[in-house]
Amino acid sequence: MKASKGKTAFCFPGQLQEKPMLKDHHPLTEDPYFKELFTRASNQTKFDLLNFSFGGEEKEEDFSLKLQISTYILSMVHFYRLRAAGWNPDIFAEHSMGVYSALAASEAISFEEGLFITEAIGRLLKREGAIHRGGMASIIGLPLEEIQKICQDLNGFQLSIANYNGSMHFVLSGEEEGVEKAISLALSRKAVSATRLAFNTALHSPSLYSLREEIMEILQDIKIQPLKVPILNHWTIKPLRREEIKDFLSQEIGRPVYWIRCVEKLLQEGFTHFIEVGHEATLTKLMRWIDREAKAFSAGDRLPR
Amino acid sequence: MFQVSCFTSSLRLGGEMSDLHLETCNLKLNLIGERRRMAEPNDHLIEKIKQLIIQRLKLIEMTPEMIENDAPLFGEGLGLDSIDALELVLGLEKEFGVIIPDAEVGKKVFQSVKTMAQYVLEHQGAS
Repeated sequence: MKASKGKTAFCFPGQLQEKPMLKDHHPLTEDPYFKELFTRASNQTKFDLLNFSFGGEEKEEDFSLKLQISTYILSMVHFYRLRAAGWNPDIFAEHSMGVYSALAASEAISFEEGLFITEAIGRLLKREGAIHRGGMASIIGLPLEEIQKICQDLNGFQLSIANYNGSMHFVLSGEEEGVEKAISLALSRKAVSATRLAFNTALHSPSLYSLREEIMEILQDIKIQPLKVPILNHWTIKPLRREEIKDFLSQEIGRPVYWIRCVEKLLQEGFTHFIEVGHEATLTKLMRWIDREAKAFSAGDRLPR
Repeated sequence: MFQVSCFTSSLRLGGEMSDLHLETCNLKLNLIGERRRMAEPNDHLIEKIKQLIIQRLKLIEMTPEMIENDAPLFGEGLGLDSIDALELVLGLEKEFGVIIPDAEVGKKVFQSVKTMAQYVLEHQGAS
């Protein structure tokens, strides 16, 4: 049960970078939400998502798309588990494609609508990646000025900062060749780590901004309901208004994620608990950078008490 | 220790070091450096490294006994990732004054608790 006196933020992470690789004895396999949501999602998408999450083929078709969908479902599973355990969040924060599960958890859209949006935008990204081969790189251990300099030095590859995750953690996005060069440059400039992410599109870069009309078409039949829990908009650092949600979604993949701003704002507002609603602990680990004293947990690791 | 006694003996000779003395000193200093590199980290250092990992990474449910000296830290072992690596880089610098200059060195150092301790042993006081 929730025992805190401070305010609690649920943090919805972006796409998993690896398959969940759940083993047969994983506690989630016995979880009723897990079984139900994966079954509903597999029926809707026609993907064998359970097989995918338990290993499946080594090289799978639609790998990135399945990862995006699995990320969405796992976040929803963990959300329901947390809620059943008595956690009542005061706000939602979301990172990248975590916005779809945050919207479904806030009941602005249904689980099925969230799944539909995740898959439809995922397919759009897949198509875009086939036309304009792009990529993303996570660079850890270099400050913002160095990252900006790498983008300047590789001018011509349309590199841009896609995620501002922490003072020493950024994600670059751009043309595939540029991303590879950026990784080499970052390592030669003493980055602790510089690695490719599992995307072949330049997500959160201006090159995808042109997709906003197509995204609006995807969303046209969806009626946004009043949010049960507010979602923090990482551009304005204010709660997303119901009427701006479609605009936000249509622009989101073409604009950077300012995660650090979100967390700093929440800390200023007196939030003490940051619960990652997902299978991994990336956002939880980022919290160590921003405020070591904050209580940060990942539902994927365990249900916090 | 030896460095001091060698230097002292040369002072006793009137402050002038002969080539032979210098050569002997250098040889012995090299030997000390070699021994330092070959030395096994002691239990105290191993324990401090484990404490550093637990504290920096906020592994609140872990105790030093739960971390094996030779087990891989990344991937299948403790399951650490590159965000954790940055924490450990900063932790080593803060706690031991030891610098990991780049990712290549980091990969070797962060193989296990033992390789971390070995690196500290070899580089502490060197920077």
